[in-house]
Amino acid sequence: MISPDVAAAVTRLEREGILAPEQVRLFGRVARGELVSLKIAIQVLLYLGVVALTTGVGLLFRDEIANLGPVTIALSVGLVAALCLAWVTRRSPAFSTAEVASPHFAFDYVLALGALLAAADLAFIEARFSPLGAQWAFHLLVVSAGYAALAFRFDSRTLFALALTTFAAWRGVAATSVERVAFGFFNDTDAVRVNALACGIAFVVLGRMLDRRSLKAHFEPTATHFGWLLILQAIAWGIDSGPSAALHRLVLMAVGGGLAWFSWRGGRFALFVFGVLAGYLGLVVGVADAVEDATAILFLVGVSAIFLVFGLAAIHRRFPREAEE
Amino acid sequence: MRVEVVAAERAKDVRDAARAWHRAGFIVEEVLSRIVSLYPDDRRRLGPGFRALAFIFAGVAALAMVGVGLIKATHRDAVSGLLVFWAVVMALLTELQRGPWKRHDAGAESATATMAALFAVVASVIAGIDPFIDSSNEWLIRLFTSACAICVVAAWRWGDRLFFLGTALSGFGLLAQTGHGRLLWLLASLILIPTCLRAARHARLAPSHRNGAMILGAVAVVALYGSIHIWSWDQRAIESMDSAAPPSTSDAAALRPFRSLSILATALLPPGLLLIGWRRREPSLLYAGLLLIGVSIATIRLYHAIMPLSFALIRIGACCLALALWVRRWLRSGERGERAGYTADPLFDRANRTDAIQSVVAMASFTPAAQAASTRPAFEGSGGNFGGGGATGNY
Repeated sequence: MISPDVAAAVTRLEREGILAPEQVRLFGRVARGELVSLKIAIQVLLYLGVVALTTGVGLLFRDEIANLGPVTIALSVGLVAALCLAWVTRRSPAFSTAEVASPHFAFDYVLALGALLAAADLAFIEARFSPLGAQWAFHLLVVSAGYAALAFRFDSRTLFALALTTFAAWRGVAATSVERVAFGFFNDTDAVRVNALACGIAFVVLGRMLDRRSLKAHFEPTATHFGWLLILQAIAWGIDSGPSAALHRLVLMAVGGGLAWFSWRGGRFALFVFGVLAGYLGLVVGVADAVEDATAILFLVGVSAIFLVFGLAAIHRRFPREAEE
Repeated sequence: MRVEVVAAERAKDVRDAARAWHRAGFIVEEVLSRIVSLYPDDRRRLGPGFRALAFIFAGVAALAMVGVGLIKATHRDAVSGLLVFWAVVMALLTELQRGPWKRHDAGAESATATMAALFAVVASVIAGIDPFIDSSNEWLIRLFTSACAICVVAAWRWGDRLFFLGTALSGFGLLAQTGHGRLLWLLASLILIPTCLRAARHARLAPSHRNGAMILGAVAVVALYGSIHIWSWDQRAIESMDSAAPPSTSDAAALRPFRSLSILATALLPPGLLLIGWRRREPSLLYAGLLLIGVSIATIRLYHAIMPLSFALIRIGACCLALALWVRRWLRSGERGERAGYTADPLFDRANRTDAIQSVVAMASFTPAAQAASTRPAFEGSGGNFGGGGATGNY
């Protein structure tokens, strides 16, 4: 942090014997801007490199297929993906159920590049050669399983999140293409909503299992947060219109309130935010529906928001990680 | 700004730095406690998440309360008067929270400050003019003028970053309405950039004003690039922002030398910023230079497609990866893991690995407060563990 105040404080702390001369030298240099870290610039370059490469490969599929031929493209991209994953495998320490420190600063980026290229290659093969035919949506399940396997083996939260989102995408696609045939009593919207709810519950349960069995327990927040987002979204989907809108609002208030209460007691700040926002959304839409007068609605919304501000100020100390000082 | 608020901001900077040193294992808990007691906090703060929630709900409350009045108001002057009233109320509430209530970084005081500025700007725009009917650019000029003036006052008094951003955007927006937007953007940027860079390290300024200077400088860099950029020149992008300007009748031949200059400037400004940033060790200029080099490369491709986009992206991606790896290796191979005042590693982070930082941690173990804290060896070669002297040992 470049700061003249910190530079002055470092001098004072040295004078009072709190810091040693070597500490003073380093802290003073950083505070005066004489030593600067380029870590963020290097990480941004790595990230841009991965994004540009994967985008370029995607465009290559589209543009050069006639010139190079689909087999050549599929093989060459598969080869690059395999090289990335081989490098990652060689560098990676042995599997552990606990969190593992990254063995190389570029490890996560190369792993992500390899996984994304492999997924793009599979999508290309599916689109070009259609090995799964009408059941093409299962390709997403295969990709999700692949991401999950890599995530657990190489301890990557990024790939774990990708595995969950790809799984949810598979359910979304399958709901409107496959299950419509099997379960005719659902329309498309309801089928997607029910699938989102089921996915959310499954992810929350998965998070609990990972935590309890100490199997990559640090993945638990990713699964739990994503799961609750899906659950709340699935409920909130129906709050504004339809015959069961009032029920959805009540359920949203109850689930949001319950989530906020339990996450407050458990010190889970992100879940607390989800719960508060969901509960408040249900309350506001419920008030707007129950009260006719616009002035009264605005007044109630304003008053409830003021109460929430004071309530938040009163309970924030429950979350030690959130308390900055 | 209030004197006690400035003092609180300065003390918070020191506490934040001390916590970063502690997280990185440079100082032990006892030293941190002594620093925190030397620079105590007299403000009531919320964490970033709670702050965001408080900001949202305070903003919703303010908008709802104003909405209650607006439903009853039928005339534009009544609306304007009501907004002025609420702007004053919000400003007083902000003063109350930042003064006697000693609230800082608590969200609600930022929300009331933002709402005060927003209501004042809207009131000044709609007073005596209807932006939905008026076809001239008078309302636009009024909007930019009032936004710039109000944001300047709010930034000076409260120091919120949003107000510095508002000042910069409305200021450049106003300049674009004068008929000489490009020239004025160029001149204003050339004055603002060095001024802001100096202000950002000026010891007498409040920390929030120094941060604000960085925001002003960043917008000025974008404005400078926008004013010299070839695509912006060809499309008359800045001139088209002036809603009162007549259609361009300039002679293309007369402007040709300027176009050549614009091409040159588009190519040279980003590496120039990078070079100046490197020499001055100014991270913001370095990042701006890197970002604008990318934009200039995209501009070159826009005018001259040398190769298919897919190949271009693959090559650019490979270059980015190679450059990142080379820069990191080059910096880490320097004496004590740094070159010309730059290091590839995080400075105050749990993941420090440079030799420079390792040696400092080792030296830190000889500080009076650190000596008795641990019996672990000062250096363990296998696996890069550090300890001793109370350092955390987590590397």
